[in-house]
Amino acid sequence: MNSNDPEKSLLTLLEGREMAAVTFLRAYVQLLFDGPYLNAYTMPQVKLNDTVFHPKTPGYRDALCEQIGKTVTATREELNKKLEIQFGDGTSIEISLKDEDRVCAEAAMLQADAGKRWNVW
Amino acid sequence: MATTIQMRWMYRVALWLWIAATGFLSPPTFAYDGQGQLQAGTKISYDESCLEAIDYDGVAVLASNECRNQPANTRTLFINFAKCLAAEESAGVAGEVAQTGGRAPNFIVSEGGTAFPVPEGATGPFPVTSGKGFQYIGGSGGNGLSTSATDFRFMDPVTTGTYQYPGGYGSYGNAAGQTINPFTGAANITPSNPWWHIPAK
Repeated sequence: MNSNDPEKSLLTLLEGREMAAVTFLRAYVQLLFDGPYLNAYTMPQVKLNDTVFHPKTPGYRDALCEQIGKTVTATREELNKKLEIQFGDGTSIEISLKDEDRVCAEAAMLQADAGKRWNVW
Repeated sequence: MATTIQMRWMYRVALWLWIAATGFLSPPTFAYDGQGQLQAGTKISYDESCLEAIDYDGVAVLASNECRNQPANTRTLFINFAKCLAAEESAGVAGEVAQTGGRAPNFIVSEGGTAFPVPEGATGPFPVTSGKGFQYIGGSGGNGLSTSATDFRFMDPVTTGTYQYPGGYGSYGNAAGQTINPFTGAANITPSNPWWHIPAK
């Protein structure tokens, strides 16, 4: 995890948890981690070995759903750049925090403890 | 010299006298621009030009929208009364926001006077980790909201980047943590939908 304010990053909550489900909604996706869930309003990309799956890449949805059941081994937050969720097999999911990639004021929102702990990027 | 509380009551009494004299309004209901009526007890905000209803039932939303298209009531008495009530309500909300995890107020009023109903039975406020917002969770409907509306969050002003909200914004969610249209409950809205991030003044 790499953040300007590490104590405030909630992403570390995902470490050690399995990605339980992916919900595709209109214009965004919701990643569920057995409790906490991460709404990615900026569509995430999946990095699988040397291949990067963008939302318009054929196989993108498969690549995203293939992460279901995998355990998060590390998270990384780079201010105004990206959020990264890494899995044990080297695959990662990245959400861009760059202004040019945003489709609204928010790129992502993480909620834990039924919304008592949450963050928006 | 009259205290602030005494002044508020003087404004109240004066307003009702004015109401009775003109027949413009008839207790126990409020009217607005002669276009209709709001329920007694409706809370209001005032932004120097427009009176806004707060409890957001269907009538109140209509009132707010119509108010935008109507000449403002600029009578001094009316303005002072509206300011007094708005100040009272804002102060009340601020007081409740200071407590975390308690029962939510019926509404949240932004600094500029925009009112957002809070789902009935929600608890909070729970501050966002970044410190730039807070939310109420676990409610359901009420105040004109869809029963699917369980959460409400209010975010600080965004003044940089492509998508700016100088007065902050509000957003409603359902029990699954998905953003919804607060009045229809539909979760199929996109981030560009005006119900997604509702601008505050």
